[in-house]
Amino acid sequence: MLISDLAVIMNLITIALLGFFVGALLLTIAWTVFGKLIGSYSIQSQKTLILTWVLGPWVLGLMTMLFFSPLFEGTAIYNWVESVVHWHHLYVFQFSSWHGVSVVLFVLFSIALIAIKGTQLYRQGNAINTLKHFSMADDQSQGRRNVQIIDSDIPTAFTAGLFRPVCYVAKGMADNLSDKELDIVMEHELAHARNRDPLTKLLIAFLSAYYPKRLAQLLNTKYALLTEHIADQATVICHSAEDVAATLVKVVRLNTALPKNASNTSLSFFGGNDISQRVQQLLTPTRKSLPVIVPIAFMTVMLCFTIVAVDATHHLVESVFTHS
Amino acid sequence: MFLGELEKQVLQYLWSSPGVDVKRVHAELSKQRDSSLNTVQSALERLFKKGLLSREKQGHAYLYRAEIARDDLIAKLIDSVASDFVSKGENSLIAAFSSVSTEMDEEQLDQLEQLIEIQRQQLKKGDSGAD
Repeated sequence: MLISDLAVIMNLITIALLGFFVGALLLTIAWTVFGKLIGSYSIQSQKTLILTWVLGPWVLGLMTMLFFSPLFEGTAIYNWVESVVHWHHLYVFQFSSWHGVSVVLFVLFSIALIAIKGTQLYRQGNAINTLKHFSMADDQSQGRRNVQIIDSDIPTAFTAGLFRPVCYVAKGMADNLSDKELDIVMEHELAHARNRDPLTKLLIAFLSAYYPKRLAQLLNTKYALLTEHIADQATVICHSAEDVAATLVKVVRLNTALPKNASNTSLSFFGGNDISQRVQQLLTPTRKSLPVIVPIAFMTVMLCFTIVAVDATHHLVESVFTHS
Repeated sequence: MFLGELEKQVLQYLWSSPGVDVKRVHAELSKQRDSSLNTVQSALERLFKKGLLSREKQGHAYLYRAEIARDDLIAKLIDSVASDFVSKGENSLIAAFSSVSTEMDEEQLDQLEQLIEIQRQQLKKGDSGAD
């Protein structure tokens, strides 16, 4: 049993964790109610909402911890919070209690997650290096930095790399497109590189991995589609939306025309409707924006619920179990 | 698919010179790097186990040749760059220009093209109306 400053730290971590899980549960319920409405807002508003959901449990956990922490002891707000909710053993912590177990489980899950994502990154890095080794063609990047041409007949283009993202365009793509269409593809990929989309996708994948799996996948899919919309919008600055949409459809046709045994180009990770959605978004963009106050107010309400729920859960569990 | 530096060089050499034994591979690669015969033998063995090489015994030695064509390997690598992160609905950490939806059939693509054409026509009408 710990009775020291370390006990305070361990209790605060426990509170943050409990707040995190309660927050994740509340946001999961909120998603089932409000999730379908998100698509009707502008791309920027949608991005704000998805980030609110992904970062929500983390923010709620940390804020809950701050409210329970002795940092503000003696202040009016602390006294008010303590009159409503409190952690009755802030200076005592027992590792063999349910608090200790939850901290250990969280740490183990996080280590496993880091190991899995790290392995994936390492393998992807190796695959890209090997790809470069065997297939870098003479430069046809139209003088663009950050664009590399792959000497392959596969009609593909993608951006990879976390800190220095590079756009890869295969000859199979370049040879089958007009100069204007190729420019659209390159501008789109360069927008991904400028926005550091591979890195943000990794962070979103990591932060959302603590949600129920189905919601995590949904958030990742939505976020990935948003990065595509944003890259499409960047391309529309220099080209007409119709040209970008037509290029998109043409590229899909090039891919679907591939023989079945060449299906290893299957970069089909957005699900069935994303091309339709991207074309629709290009032709008739959703412009309804969401006032910033809405996510802030929403998170404030969630925070109140979380704090009360943490207190209630703590007392409920401890009326059933003891710490020893 | 994971390939070490030596494995890449071995594979590259075998594409240009199929049906050679370990000594020949070692002699060729020693112009580029300092590797022992055993190291080259291990690389050949690993590539064989990965299914990237085939071999046939001739006398006391194996003759190796690439089992996979360069273009097929590149296709596999592109797939592997994407699919490492794609499994079971997860998203890729690469950002591709288009996702190939197996569910997108010709009819759907035709409909999208019609939509685009209608929009073009409407814009033209709008422009000529403004003139």
